[in-house]
Amino acid sequence: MLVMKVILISILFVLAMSAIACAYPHQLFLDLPIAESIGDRGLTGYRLAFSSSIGPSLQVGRAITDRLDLWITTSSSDLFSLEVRALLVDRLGPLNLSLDLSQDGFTLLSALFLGPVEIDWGRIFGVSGKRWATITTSPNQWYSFLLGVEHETRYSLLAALRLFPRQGVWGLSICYRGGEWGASFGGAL
Amino acid sequence: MIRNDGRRDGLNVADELPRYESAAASVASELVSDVVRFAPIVLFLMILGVSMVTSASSLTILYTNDIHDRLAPLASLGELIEEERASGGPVLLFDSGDTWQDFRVPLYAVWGADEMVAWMNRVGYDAMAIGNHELYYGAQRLAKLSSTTSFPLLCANMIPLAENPAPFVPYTMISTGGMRVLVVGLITAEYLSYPDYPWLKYIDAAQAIQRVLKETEGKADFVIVLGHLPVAQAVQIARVVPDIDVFLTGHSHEITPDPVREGKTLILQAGAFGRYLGRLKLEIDPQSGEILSARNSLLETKRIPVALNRGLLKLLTVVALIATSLLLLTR
Repeated sequence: MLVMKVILISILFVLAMSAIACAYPHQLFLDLPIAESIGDRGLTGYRLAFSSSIGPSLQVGRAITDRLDLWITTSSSDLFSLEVRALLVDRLGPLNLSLDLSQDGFTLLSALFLGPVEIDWGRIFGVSGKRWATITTSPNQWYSFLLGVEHETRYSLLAALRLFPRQGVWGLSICYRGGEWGASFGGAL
Repeated sequence: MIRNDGRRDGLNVADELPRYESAAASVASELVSDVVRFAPIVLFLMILGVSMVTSASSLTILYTNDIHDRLAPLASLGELIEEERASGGPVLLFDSGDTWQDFRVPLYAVWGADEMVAWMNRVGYDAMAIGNHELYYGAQRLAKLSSTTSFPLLCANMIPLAENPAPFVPYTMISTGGMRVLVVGLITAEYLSYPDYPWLKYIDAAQAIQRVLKETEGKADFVIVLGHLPVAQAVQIARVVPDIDVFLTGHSHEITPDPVREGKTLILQAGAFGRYLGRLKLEIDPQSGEILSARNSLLETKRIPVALNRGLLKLLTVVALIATSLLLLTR
């Protein structure tokens, strides 16, 4: 367990040090993606997270084009999963629409960008049938709040505080999900 | 030595007088002739000197802000701008931001930015400050829009980190009427879409101007700030940075029939939605850059309805997409 912790902390340190000033607005919850792409072709997005139910997880994504990403996830509950995210509608006015394809099915994601407020919602069509909606507000460049609700078999509350201590180089989040706490760290390389 | 009786030691002055009188008359006559000969030149130099001391450079500054994609007043605004340009003298045309978007009105949240940019290019804007609503398009769309403008987009208080290119520059330098005019852009800290631009660092507005002034020291005769921020905030900034000559503001949709003065700075704003074209006529001392006189007017525009076909189609598309995805979410 100690070895695992040391490895995770080392990875985190290397990622934080080599991150460029382009924090991918990383998804806060492992299985709730967002309708945004990593950005310019060649960028690598990453996300390290820990929650009491899933344990540690690592997600790494690569921007194939500015509208197509490939994501690989590994966690203690699911050793390997692959995901392709295509941004179908990119800022048609304030709207983004994207489609995620994975071995579990496909996910339709939407986002409305209303200045300092962002509204996201999505639904997984496949094994889980999960659906969720969140609202995020960013009063300044240092932090943002998220509040939302998800439904699979019952409704549960989502809440998070995301901090950007190094002005967008990376982000650190503390998350609450249906009675369970977690933390995540993410950015782009 | 001359004694009180008019006699000089060893010399009889009375004997010498006729000679002195004749010499004096000759000198006087030469002097008069020289004056007559050089009078035109002296007069010319005097007139030139006086004119150099008193002549002032005229400059007209036309300004808009917070048009928020309203296309109806554009034709009228264009006519007023043309009339001002036709009246002669140097004219500068600026916008203080929030011109390409308004998400509070669904139609203007999805449509009109390209039309606004095309119109601004056509009427020949000299510079525009970025407003918070321009940022709402997201980095990629904003970069595309800014690549189509024929004028610089300005913002000095959002600094790109690392090698990320920003779709704007902090300032621009314009030469007009024999003057070098420094134009700096500023944006408010209110309602910014920070998560869309994690690679931009927001810094204090006054600090940003001071940084630009230091960088351009000795290169400008006149300083104009295009600030997408309220008049009250501009007053505070002008207190800290007294070198600003004209401060054109926005964001708060205020109307300033007369300029608000803070030190030497004239602070102005022309309402919103293209209802007015602001016109500031200045007489400026070309040597010192000092404003000798200032006359501000707000020229009211007319609203001429424009065809919304493409806009309505785009709005319908967005609404249909949102409705479909919400339907899929709930069913």
